[in-house]
Amino acid sequence: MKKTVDINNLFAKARNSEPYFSNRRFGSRVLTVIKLQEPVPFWKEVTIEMLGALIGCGLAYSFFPFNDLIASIPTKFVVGPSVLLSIAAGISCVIVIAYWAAERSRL
Amino acid sequence: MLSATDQALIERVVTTDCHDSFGILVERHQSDLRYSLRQMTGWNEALADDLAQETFIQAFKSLKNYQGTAKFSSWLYRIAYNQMVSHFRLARNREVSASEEILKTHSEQLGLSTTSEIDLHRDLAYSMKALPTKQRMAVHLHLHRELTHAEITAIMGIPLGTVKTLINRGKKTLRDHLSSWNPEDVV
Repeated sequence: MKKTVDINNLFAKARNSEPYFSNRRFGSRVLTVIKLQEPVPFWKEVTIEMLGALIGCGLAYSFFPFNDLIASIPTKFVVGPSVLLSIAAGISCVIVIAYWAAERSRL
Repeated sequence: MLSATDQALIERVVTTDCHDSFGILVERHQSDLRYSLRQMTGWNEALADDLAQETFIQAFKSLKNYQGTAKFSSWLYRIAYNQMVSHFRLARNREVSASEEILKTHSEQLGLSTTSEIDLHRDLAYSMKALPTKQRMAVHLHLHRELTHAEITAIMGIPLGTVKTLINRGKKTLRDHLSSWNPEDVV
């Protein structure tokens, strides 16, 4: 014959012997994550980004040879058969990659 | 500050963003919540602690919305319940197979292992896994945490009649699963 168990009694026993879990590591982990997830204030974020952009512009201006770069831009283009062929090949490659990507995402 | 009430600590966190006060709230409620989540997850300690951690982080973020109409612990259980439901929804297939695996292994071991208090807690948790999430939560809150039907209704956001039905069905299923348990064996 199947035994019946007194569920209420079983839960009462579990309740009376419930273990206590130490807070030592758990508590500090929770507080650390909360601190890490705190959003950076808007003004702080903007200031940091502006400063970074200014420093970047300064470095680029002093180190980058802008005059040489401008001088190296071609002033005239000659469109020959080989250039046309290269453009056609480039377009074909892009189309093939786009088709492959679309088919792959559908699978 | 350790003797301050939950409400006083909450006000301090909301007004001054005091992390230490929230730390005291965590210390006060973490053990109960982690135990409950172990019961909800088939004694999966890592998952239970992750859910408990997420619950406290969510609680910290939403503390401004806590109105103090219910106990802080009930409010925490509500967040934990939502966290658990969304976790199981996301990992439904994986969880189903995992719980089946646990139940299979467990039912083979049930009655054979040495009976002790920790076995009782684990066996309860394993058996609770057989219940759907809502039933599991309702049964645990009612039988273990001794909350009233009204409190469970507020935590789970479901009608009173549904809570009663969930508890009755859950108890019936648990009775079948735990038929080999003898409470007198617990040492």
